[in-house]
Formats: sequence, structure tokens, C-alpha cells
Amino acid sequence: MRSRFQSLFIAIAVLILFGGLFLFAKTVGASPHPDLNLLGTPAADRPGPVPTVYPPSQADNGGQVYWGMCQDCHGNKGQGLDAEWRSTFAPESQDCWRSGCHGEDALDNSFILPEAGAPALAGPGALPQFSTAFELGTYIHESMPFSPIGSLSEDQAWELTAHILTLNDKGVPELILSGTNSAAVLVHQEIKLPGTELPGILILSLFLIIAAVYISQLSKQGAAETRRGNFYHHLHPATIPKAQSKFSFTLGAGGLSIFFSLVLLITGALEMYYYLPTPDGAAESIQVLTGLIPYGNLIRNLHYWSAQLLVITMMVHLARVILTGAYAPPRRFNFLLGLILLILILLLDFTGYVLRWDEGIRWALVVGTNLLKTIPGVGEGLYYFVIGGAEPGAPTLIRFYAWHIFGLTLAVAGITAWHIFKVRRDGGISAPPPQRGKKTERVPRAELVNKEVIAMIIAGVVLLLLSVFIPAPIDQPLVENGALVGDSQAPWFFLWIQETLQYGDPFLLGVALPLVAVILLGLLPYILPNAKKEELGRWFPSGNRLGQIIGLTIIAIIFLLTLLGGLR
Amino acid sequence: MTEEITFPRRAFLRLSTKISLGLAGILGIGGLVRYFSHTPAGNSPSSYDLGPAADFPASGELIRLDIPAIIYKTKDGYLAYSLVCTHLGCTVKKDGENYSCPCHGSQFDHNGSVLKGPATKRLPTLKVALTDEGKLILETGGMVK
Repeated sequence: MRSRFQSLFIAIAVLILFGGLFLFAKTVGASPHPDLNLLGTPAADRPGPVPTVYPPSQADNGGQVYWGMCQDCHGNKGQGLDAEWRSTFAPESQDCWRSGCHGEDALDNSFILPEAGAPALAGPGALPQFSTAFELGTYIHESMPFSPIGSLSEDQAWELTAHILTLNDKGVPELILSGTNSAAVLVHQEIKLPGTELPGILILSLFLIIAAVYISQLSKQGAAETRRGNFYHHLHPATIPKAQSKFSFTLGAGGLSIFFSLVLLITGALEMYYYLPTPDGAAESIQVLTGLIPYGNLIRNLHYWSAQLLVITMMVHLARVILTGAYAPPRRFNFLLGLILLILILLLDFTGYVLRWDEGIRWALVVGTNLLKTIPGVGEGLYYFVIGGAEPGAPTLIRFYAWHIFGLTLAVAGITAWHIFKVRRDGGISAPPPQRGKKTERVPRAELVNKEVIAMIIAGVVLLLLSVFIPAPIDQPLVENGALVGDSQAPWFFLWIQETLQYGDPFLLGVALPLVAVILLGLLPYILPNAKKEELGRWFPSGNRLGQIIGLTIIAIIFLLTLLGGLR
Repeated sequence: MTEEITFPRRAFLRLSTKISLGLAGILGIGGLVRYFSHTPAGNSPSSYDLGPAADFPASGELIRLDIPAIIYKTKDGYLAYSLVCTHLGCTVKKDGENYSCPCHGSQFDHNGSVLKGPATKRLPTLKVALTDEGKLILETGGMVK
């Protein structure tokens, strides 16, 4: 058994290595983050008022606008209204605050210039209040020129933004700045080149794989049984029946779910140090996390991918429990706890998805919350409870944030602990009963721990590779009235509900049907015949055939609907 | 001869504990429900300024995504439809003459009637009023986005 497991492991490790190389080969050159691959050679010379090359770039056009509307106050090089720049004016205009058009005896079309003058737009310390080009462009559009305010078109505002970035040697000629991409362009910092962290991550993966091989070799030595266990060993029973430790029986799905939950907890805690749960700040803080913070992209992707993989391992775990009849008494109640955990994790996935607060989540939020309204009687109240108002807004975001990082997480932590405790209390996971006159073969916890650690390392490496090569989705910040830009596809774990919704009444198909499916699953151990004791510990016992068929049908329907929705 | 009713002290204490804890729990849950049931007033305006009638687009059609609504100029006056899908609230898109919803595929014809489900209700018509100063005002009639 041990050797079979090992050959399986080595095969997987080799597969991952080669798969990683293949992925790497495929994505070299193509940046995983097209929007963020912005580092180019900044233009050496500041473009003059008239573009010298055709076609003019966005920054060149901005230079023209600048020359026409901004230069007088902000200087020809963006130096601001300093003495040197004023000295180029006609003598009677050099004292901008008192004489000529800005004094108290101002002309009709003139205005009073603030005492502070016009700030520098380029050079050290310039533009202190802006961190992204999105903020800068929005400010220019809304508050500039000083008089008359707001006389710039949106295009001109972005052209000026491009020009000012170029003045600061932060220009990104590869990109036409717009409301969509500008939040990823940073005014002060160099944009981190995606992939600079790649070698480190690949080397880390390699070390992990080597460690896994050593651990599996250690397992072979067999001497570990006599070693005094460490803290992690002590979380396990001293020995467990060998049948319970087989990967071919457990698929490792329950253990991996716990592993992914822990990764989520750690990466989520790290994200909290940068995430801003406000409608204006949320999407941008994620862009900054992704584009600027060292390893921020990796941490966000790890969080995202653990969440996706967790849904999958939980579904696999559920299928395993049903198809081995493991939910038979005394494990009925623990089966319910597991189902509750699955629902809570789906809610955590959904709240986490909404926390992006970018255009990608607009319709999922609208549809998801409007579905609540369709529930007879309590719908309206439930809607207000979730949204925190008559329509999505700041209270919605803070509620989703509170649920995501506190309410739901606390519930999941508590119920997970209960779930694991019940596994121990119920005598471990289901296994064949001891046979008379035959000694049950047992494995020491050291071996169990080794298996767990190896599974965690493999999962960790898969997670790292996924996180490096497939970035978590990101979109432009949610804009007011941007009703036609959002992604109309539900998040993948709710695609099946989106599919059913097309066929009729939203309450019946979107709320009642999933609820019935969950209740049906929960009732399996209570209303249908269970697997017999002597059948436990193996796949497809005859005792709960009907339960297997119903459970498998529900899971298969969800899977097919998800596939159908994904292909649309 | 009456049978002696046995209700030992211990059982009485147990029962009393359960009843008081149960009542306390119900009260607590009631408080929690009230805590969360506060419903602030909606902040969607009930009317929107569409600007001077003279500035109405020559194409005879104006889409305002902030409402969201589409306004037509006809020979009899102005006609407006809400663009909120009556199914689950996504904003419908103009699709040729018709309107289609990107979320679940509902379709409405140019009059706002349902062509294809899952939506069952038509796109609501909205009132457009012309003020004395020649301004167009769209009234949503308390329609919630």
C-alpha cells in the first residue's frame, strides 16, 4: 500500500513539475496581467505643445491641451507657479495675486487666484494627494482648470493625465489611459513588473516538493512510531485503523478542505491590512494590492484560488461521504454539520466576490440580492438585512465585509472545529467494524501526519502554480450608472443557479429549488436506508444505494448546469 | 387512594433552568431581529431632470443609465420605459428594436412587453412631464432601482 501511494505521489509530483514548465512555456512573454504590464521606456524628451511625430500619442495630445489651458499657471515643465516661471510673464502680470486679471479689481472673465498659487505637477513631492492615475484623471476632469471648473472633456482629462505622468517619467506609452485601466497605473511608484516574483515562487515550490519526497522516504523507515510526537502529532489519535488512512478511500478531500481553509485564513488576514472597505476605495485598494504591494498579487491569488479549490474539495468530500455510505449513524449529525459548512463557504465565496466592488460584481450583487426579495413574506426584510438600505451602497459593502471577515468566518471556524471533534467522537471516519479473531491493522499517527503533510505540500504547490499563472479576476472600479459595462455572468459557483433562473419563476428556481436540494441531501441519512455496519469503509455499499443515486444525481445536475452556464 | 405525584427537586430545577434560558433566548433573538430590521429611507430620487425639451436628441431617443430609463419623443409627446429588467433587476440593453437582458435572457419588444421569459412583467412605463419652463421631468413613481 505504501509503495503504491508513493508511486502515485511521485507521478503527481512529476506531472506538476512538467505541467508547471508547460504552463510557464506557454505564458512566457504573455503577461498574466495584461493591464498591469505597463513598464516601458519613458519618453526621453517632454513633448512640445505640437506633436512632432504622427500619429500623436495620448500624452502628446495632452501636451497640446496642457499648452493651451494649464501651462500659464502650472509652468511649461509642470514646475508650478514659481518665481522663475512668473519672470517669463509680462512685467505687469508677474505679481499674479494683485495685478492684472487676478487682482481684486479683476476683469469680467478673470478669477481670484488662491494665495497658494498653482502647485507643481512634476518633480519630487509633486501630486502628493494622488496614488493612481484614476484619481488624478478624475480630479482633473472634475476640478480643473481652475476657471471655469469642469470645462475639460473626459478624453482631454485622460490625455492630460497621460501627459502629466510623462512629465514625471511615469508615462506608460503602451496604454491609452481611460476610466477602465487607469486605477492600475500608479502616479508615484514604479509599477511592479508582473513575474518578478516568479523565480522565488518556483524555487519555493521546488523546495516543497523536495521536502515532500524526503517525508515520504522518512515514512518508509518506519522508525517514526517510537518518536515522541510534536504538537501537530498530538492533534491526532495515537493510531487509526489502516482502512481509514487510505487516500483511495478518503481522497484526502476533507483534510485538504481544512488546509485550504487555513490558507484562506492567513492570506485573508494579510489582505485586511490593505483592503479598504469603502465604495470609493475598495476596488482601487485591490488594484494597489495587486499591482504595487510586494507579493500582494501572490497573496490575493492564493486567497482566490484556495477559495475556488475549497468549493471543489468540499464537493468531492460530500460525494465521497455519500458514495461510501459514511453518513450512517452515528455520523448523521456530523453530515449535517458538513452540509452547513458547505453552505457557509458558498456564502463566504459570494461575499468575498462582492468585496471586489468592481464592475465584475455588479449584476451578481443585483441578482443575488433581488432573489432574496422574491421570497414570500420575509423577502423584503431579508433584502434590507443583507443590503442595509433600499439599494446597494456603502452600507452594503460594510455589511458584506463584516459577514466575510467576521460573521461567516467565525461560524465556519466554530463549526469546522465541531465537525472535526465529531469525527473523533464518532470513532474516526467510517471504517469496517473489527472482525472477531482478526486483529485490525492500525497505523501510527506519525504515518498519518506524514501523509497529511505530503498532501498539503502537493496542494500548496498546485495552489502556488495556479496563483502565479492564473490571476484572480479584477475589473474597473464600480462606477455610478455604468449599467452596461458589468459582467453579466454569475460567479462560477453560482452559475448553476443562473442557469435555472432562465426557465421561470425566480423564487421557485433560484431559492426554493437549491433549498430543496440541500434539504434532500440533509435528510438522506434520516429517511433512507443506510449502509450496514459491515459495509462501511468501502465504496458503493449496497445499503444506501438509493441515497447514493439521489446524492449523485443532485451533484451531477449542479455540475452539468455549471458547465452549461460556463459555456454560454 | 391517590398515587403520589413525583416531581423531585432536581427535575424541577432542571425544568426551570430550561424554561428561563429558553425565554431569555427568545427575547435575545427578538432583540437581534429588531436590531437588524431597521430600514432606512430609500435615497432614489422619484423624479429626474431630463434637461430642456429643446435639447432632446434629434434621433428622438434618449438613454439615461443613471435612472435607468429610455425616453422616446413621439409625435404625441414623450414616452419613457424603465430599463430595469422585471425579472431580477439587471439593466436591459437595446437590441435592435427590442430590449434584452444580459443576465437571464429575458426579451422585451419595443413597447416594453415581454417577448421571452423568464421575466413575466413588462418594462414599466414612466411618466414624462413638460414644465412651464420647457424642461422635461421624468417621474419614476417611487420605482426602486
